[in-house]
Amino acid sequence: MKLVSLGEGASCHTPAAETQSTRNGNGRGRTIALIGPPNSGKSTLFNRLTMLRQKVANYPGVTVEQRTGRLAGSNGQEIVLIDLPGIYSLNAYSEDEEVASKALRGEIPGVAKPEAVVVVLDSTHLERHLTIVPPVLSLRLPTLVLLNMADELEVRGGSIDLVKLAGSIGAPVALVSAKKGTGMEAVSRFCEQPVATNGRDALHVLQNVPACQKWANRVGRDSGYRAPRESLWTKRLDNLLLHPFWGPAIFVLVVMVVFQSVFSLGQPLSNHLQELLNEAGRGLFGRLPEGWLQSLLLNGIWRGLASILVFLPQILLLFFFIGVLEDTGYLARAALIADRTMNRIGLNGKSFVPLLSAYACAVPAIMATRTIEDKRDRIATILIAPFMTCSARLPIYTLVIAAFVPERKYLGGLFGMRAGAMLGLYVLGFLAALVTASLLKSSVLKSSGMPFAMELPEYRRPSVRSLVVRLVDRCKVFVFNAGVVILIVALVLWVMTYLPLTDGKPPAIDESAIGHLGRWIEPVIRPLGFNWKVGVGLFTSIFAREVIVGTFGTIYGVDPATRSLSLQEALQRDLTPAAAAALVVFFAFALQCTSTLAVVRRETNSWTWPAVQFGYMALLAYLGAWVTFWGFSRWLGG
Amino acid sequence: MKRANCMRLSEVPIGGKASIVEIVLPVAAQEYLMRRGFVPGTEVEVVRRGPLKGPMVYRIQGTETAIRAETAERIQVEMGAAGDAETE
Repeated sequence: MKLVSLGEGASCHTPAAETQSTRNGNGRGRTIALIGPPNSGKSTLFNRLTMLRQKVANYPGVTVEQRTGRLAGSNGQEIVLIDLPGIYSLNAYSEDEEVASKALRGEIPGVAKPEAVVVVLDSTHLERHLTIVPPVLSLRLPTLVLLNMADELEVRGGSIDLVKLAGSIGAPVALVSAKKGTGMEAVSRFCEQPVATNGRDALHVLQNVPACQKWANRVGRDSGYRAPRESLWTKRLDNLLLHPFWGPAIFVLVVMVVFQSVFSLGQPLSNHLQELLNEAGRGLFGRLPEGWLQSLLLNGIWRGLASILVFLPQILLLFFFIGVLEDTGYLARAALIADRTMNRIGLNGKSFVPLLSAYACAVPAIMATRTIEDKRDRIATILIAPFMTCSARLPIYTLVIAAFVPERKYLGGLFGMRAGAMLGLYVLGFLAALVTASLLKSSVLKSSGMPFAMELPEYRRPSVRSLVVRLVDRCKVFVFNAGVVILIVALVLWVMTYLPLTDGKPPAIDESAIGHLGRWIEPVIRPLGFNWKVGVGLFTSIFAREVIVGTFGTIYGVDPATRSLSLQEALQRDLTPAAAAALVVFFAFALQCTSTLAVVRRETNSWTWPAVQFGYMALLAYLGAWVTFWGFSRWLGG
Repeated sequence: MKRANCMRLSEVPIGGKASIVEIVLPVAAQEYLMRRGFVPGTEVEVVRRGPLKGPMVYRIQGTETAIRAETAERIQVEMGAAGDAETE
């Protein structure tokens, strides 16, 4: 038993706590908040306590994630745990702190005011982490202070007198290890029966950092805290991983492995899943009589669902790697190594991994920006991520390049013209990202003036349990938050290709609503060298970039003039080389991806950013394509 | 308390220890750094320089934190007063 409560005489039971602890059974159980500094192992504890009984949403109006989990008490009462963001103080300097502070006071609509607080601290950094305790105690809620990572404290020869510590803090204290699961009974007992806290002299501490630090140092001293020895493993690993030469070398290696896996493992997995789902859809709905119902189910709903699910392999893979990198502590080192490079475009090292993974797919990349602490940097990273050449652009790139770029080899076959064209498109996207980042960081997202400071936690073995919970969590967030938008767009597109009916039959694509839309927009895209067929493709590919290839297939397939040709030949006949170049440039810049928009909406918790992003990228795509068409026409024509 | 051995944190050699005197930055930035351990009166040890001329790594009360050199330039420290007088 590791829970240390105050002595009988020391505690002064407040009647409020008594009435609160008996209040249950009204459908909503007791609410308890978990709070603690970053890297205190708070989320590991939360995951251990609630496992998969978690719900994630955004707090209203901000981009902070609201995480709640249910915990069944021994007497059948339900306890709701709120995992508040990891913070160092309650001073409301950052969005995270503001949310935590408001949530603790019950000032957030729809979030129940917690009846008790569990403060999670890293026992190996006790004096640093204790500084959060006075502000929490000043809320006068029943409080339990958990000293996490007890196993590590012991191994590295640190110690603490819990009785004295509980005495000086004025709150019950328990030594636990969320990773090993030791001391959990103390947490459950407190959650079922929160003990009133007197807080005593912590209440007299001024609510500023130096005063809290002074208090923490004194409490540490008074309770005989012996800080653990420096982690030898961490020192040895950092000597290698932050070595002037080997550090960057290993960094490149790690980054390549992550990128290669997401790209070359995630993409085929997605494709297989897509085939499997198509097959399943035909199996499920193929037997239905042909008609609008079958088409709605198969081409509308099922296709929408399938296009949500195909993202899961890439999300799982990227978050597996990010989870491992973050939990081991390497992600912070990677950010340190990348910082100077990223600083040149006004961002910091934490943007590197998300931006790199955007080369595979912007969707998981944007979800991964949550590790970027600074809100402006985070939004800037989200806004430039879709410029990275993702794998969904490759089908249209490959098609156009194969159709229009002759395969000429230079330098003895070392350099091909087609490969060069492809590389050029990658560079184009990258440059657009650089320019956009600089523009953003010198205007609307001008740096907040906050210095960059990043804690380098000790290296630790990642917990499989926490990793699994996190992967499930990210998949749920994507499917349920972004999925709705994707499904709606899929249905709208289906309706537009299915209507207007003639003699009760759906029209050919050129006679459908979307075909008319393509014709309607033709005057606008004519300066880019595009005709109405490309116009239709631009509309259908708002759903996903690769859709344009299928749309071209359908359109040229029903056109008597191109029916007997291959898709490449049909394109060659229908577009000038300058227009083809304009088309790929358009795709390099335009945000033709509903899933990305849905994820940006979710991660920024607003429609403004995705709307601005879509508009900006569309404008850039239009201008880029126009300049390309004009330039190529003069060059090829003259 | 101003003494002759007062200098910038960025000037403390690797392996050296110093005590933070003050942070010469706007209040919000001071607050931000203090919450991450850079509290006046606390001892800082210079652990290493990040690779590729990256941020510097400092240890405060057992926690390693990286900040950029431009930030370390704004932190006034004094050496030798913090106890572990490695130069004397």
